[in-house]
Amino acid sequence: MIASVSEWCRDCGIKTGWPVLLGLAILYVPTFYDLAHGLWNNEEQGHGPFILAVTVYLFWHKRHLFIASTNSSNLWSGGPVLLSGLLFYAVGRSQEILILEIGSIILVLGGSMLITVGSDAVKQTLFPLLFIVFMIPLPGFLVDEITGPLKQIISSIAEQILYWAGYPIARAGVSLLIGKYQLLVADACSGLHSLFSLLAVGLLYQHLSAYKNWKHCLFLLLSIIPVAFFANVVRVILLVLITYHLGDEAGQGILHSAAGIIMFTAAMLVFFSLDSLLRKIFPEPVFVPPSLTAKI
Amino acid sequence: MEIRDSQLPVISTRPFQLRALTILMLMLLTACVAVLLKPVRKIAEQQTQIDLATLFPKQFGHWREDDSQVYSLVSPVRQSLINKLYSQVLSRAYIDDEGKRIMLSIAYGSDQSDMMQVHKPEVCYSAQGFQILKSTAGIFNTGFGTVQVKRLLAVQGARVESVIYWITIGDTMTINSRQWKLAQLKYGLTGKVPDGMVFRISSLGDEAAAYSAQEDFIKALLKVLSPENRKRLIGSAFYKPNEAYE
Repeated sequence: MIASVSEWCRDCGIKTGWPVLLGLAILYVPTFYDLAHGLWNNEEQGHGPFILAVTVYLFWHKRHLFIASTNSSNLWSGGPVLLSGLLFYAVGRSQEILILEIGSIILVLGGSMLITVGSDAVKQTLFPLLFIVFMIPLPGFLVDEITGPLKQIISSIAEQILYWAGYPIARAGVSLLIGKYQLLVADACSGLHSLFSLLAVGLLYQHLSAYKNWKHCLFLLLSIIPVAFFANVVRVILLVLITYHLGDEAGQGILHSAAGIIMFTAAMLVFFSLDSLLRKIFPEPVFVPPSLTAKI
Repeated sequence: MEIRDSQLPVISTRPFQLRALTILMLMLLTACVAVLLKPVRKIAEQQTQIDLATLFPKQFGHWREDDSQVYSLVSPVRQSLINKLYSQVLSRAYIDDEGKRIMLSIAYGSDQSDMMQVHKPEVCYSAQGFQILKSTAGIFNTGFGTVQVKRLLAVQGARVESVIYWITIGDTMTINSRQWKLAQLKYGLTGKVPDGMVFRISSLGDEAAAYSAQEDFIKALLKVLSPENRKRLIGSAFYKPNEAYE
């Protein structure tokens, strides 16, 4: 019994690493509690718990890295990282600056790892560490700055396409006039947040698939933003057409939310097909790495 | 052999354990500091309670409330956010002796923390379908101190609306969201929660005429207010007493 527990402990490093885990819990359980009762209920930040779960899972997957070893710790690089992270936390948590509070997780975790298990462990968990960035809500001024122009472009493209298709459409700023309806392209229609979520999912997919061909990675990475953008244009056009053909109630009701989910799925499908296409163009090296089992 | 085996990991993990415990201590300390740094003193609670409906008189100078027609005022905040962000919102239309019309729109929040940031009129107008054709920062002498103002020209179809606004935070004011954030942080780190107000007036029609009517409106309004309320409106840091109206 005791042997099996210590076996398990040796496997995840909890026997020696528990103080760090306890400290992390003391710092961040309140943070996540607040997020779960606030920001995460917001439709635009609904991806937060998903990012957290993925991050925790990816760290768990690499738990063998946290077994204590004496020969690999970087006190002099880890110390400043940890201390700056703790400073960010103190200011961010007390002043309700989420970008500092959530961002501090990366530094506190990274710093603690450097001090205890060394830079090699940090290198191997760099992806989950940086994935935490997606938990940070985009700063308000940035959202305001981007949302406006994005809405303009999307409504303009939607107008052009529908005009070519022969619909009686006109546009004034971000309001579209079609038939007897006037539709306002709302903030949510800018698709900024769905773009952010798609970017997270796309990066995660790329990380998990662990492609060796860098051209494949690059193309896939660059495709995420245009795919998300055009998915959103199609969504707006779809909603305009629903309103035009089926009436106002249809366009605002359940079909409105359905269109969002359908387009997110469609964007993912386009992304995956693109991926399999790229796999044919840029074949993977035939060599199968022995560490394949360590990847998912 | 047996003894050496069980002792070996203990010796080799001791520095590790020590470091892990030191990290725990630092984290505990940080958690305490974060709790202590949390601002709790609300500036709004140390002053007499604000009531927008009575703070702004329904009649002053040659301006009076105009309830003769229904105005479609652009909401000062996005509808869904009103209750979350602001403790009070006031929208009122005024008319002067010559028939010039002004729309006054005030949003006041007694607790402005990060989640509750003010929403700039630029954002409100564009969110409600307006195009912002012009956006200029300027200074304006209210007669009780010179303040920074932002002027917007918002257009939606045939509706042309000239807007002038500023935003107060605690005892200062700004038209720039980064400055606003810094001011908020300055309060926060000294343990205070500042209040804030978006002061916005707008009118339809010719731009130049609209702005001169608006400036006349602001000056006339400040003259009839008490010094305390004047300070609240333009921020006491910018307030300069005017001998003629004390």
